[in-house]
Amino acid sequence: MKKQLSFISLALVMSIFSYSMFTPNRAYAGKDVPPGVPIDGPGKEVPPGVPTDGLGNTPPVAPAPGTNVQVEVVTSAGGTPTVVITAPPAVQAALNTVFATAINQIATTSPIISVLQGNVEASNQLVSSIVILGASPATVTALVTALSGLQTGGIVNINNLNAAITALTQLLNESSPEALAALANDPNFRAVVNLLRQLRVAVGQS
Amino acid sequence: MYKIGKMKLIKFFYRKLRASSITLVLLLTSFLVKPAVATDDVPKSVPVEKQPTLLNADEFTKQLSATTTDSSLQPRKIQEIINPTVIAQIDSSIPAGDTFGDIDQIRQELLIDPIITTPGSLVGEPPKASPGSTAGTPSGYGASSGQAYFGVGLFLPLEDGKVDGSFSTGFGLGDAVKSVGVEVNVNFTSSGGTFLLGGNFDVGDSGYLGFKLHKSFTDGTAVAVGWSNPVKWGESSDNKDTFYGVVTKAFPLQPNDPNHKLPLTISLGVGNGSFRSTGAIEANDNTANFFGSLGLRVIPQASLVTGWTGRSINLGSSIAPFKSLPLVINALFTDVGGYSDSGLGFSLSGGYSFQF
Repeated sequence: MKKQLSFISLALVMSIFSYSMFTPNRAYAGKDVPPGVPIDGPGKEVPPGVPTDGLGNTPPVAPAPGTNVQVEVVTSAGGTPTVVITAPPAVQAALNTVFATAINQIATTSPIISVLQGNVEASNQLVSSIVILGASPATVTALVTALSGLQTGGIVNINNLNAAITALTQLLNESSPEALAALANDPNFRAVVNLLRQLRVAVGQS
Repeated sequence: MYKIGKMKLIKFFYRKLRASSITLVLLLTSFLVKPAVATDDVPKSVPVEKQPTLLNADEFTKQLSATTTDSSLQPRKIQEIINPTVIAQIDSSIPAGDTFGDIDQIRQELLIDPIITTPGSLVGEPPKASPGSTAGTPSGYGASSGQAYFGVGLFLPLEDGKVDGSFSTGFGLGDAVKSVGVEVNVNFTSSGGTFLLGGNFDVGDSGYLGFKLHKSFTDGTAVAVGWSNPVKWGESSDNKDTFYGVVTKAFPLQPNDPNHKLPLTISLGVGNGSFRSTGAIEANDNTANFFGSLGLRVIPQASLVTGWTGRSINLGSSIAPFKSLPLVINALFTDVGGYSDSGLGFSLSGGYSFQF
């Protein structure tokens, strides 16, 4: 109650102060909006640099040019938005075929094969071999986690492919010049990039 | 004799001048052209929201050394892996040369085109509002279907003139990204009058209704054309019609920074009516004139803005102080430099947006 009274008193004092300070002898009725106020209304602009469809809402997510997929944002009960990508049958078939071909190009002794089969120990070792080159552990973990669930029974999961490409992009953008040079010379990392690149081409199949 | 002496004199001055010019160029070069130094200024790693339980790098290294016999997985020192030439190029003690170009080339070779495009991160709740990028002029952005706003503007003269105020409200139709958005806007230019001093309460007695067609493109460009006052009443009935077209484009000055790309937003437009020059107003002509604004979003919550309205310069800032509240506050000094007869003033406006 005391707090409420204090607030009311403060509001009253501020009102009287504003009245005495700023109320002119005569205010404009005004033909136009005051100087400095946009004629299309003050303070309702969308985020600069973000091509949104409105006032600060979630930026739109759309298929990248040249891809043949459907994308939607699903908001969970907790309010966390998640991107869900769906591949049409033709693209899914192309992905599966490309994956089968690409996997044959990787040496059977490569740890990538074990990672793609969901082998946890191989995943940890692959993370380690990339982290030691100077890459961020968190981003490498995201990349390898996406790879480990990339396919099930020969069927490629396009959402995992997207997660892997996103993690790879982040990894390359955040890595130091030294780490980049090391990554470029690492055969395991190169194999991962080649696999993802071939699968990405398949996403453009119509 | 006189000719020979003159020629010698010219050659002497030519040689002196040439020597001085070279010296001047060398001096300027030494002062102005600083050697570039390679720096490791790439963005820090962005935390991943959900990480599986994994060992850290040191633990991995120990475990690998102890357990694996696979030579391709054995940890190696970076110096053993990196091409020596590259090490020399990225040594921070020497000029960078083409280092950044080489590194960019490596990065480009390894990058893969994305499957989806998303201008912002979906991790975390996006802010409810963003600061504006214009200073008293329209932009190419606007409201689309399901969006509405309410705004209040107050002008305080710092030289001659009187306090002025206005209210505005608007809503959107259509979709500016998929097709075209239409924003309908009403400005109430009378805002209370002398009610507090015992006079008339004249809110809504004067004003005008307008609309704006706007289109946003995925590269960050937005265009709009508007007719601000096809419907007008009260004292605003005397206003000249205001037609305008405006293009807005944002340029990220830090495109590789995942946290803040430091966008510089430029809006350029042509319009008559409200955008007329002082001369056109005095001549009672409704001729077209240029207007524009620059907005630098220095932090995600605030922008520095400046604009040319067609007859005056505005300068100030726009702030979206609350992440969870769609409120934007604009504070501007108007007619900086005194190019119009309105004189220096201070304009405070605020807007609150709605989604439905």
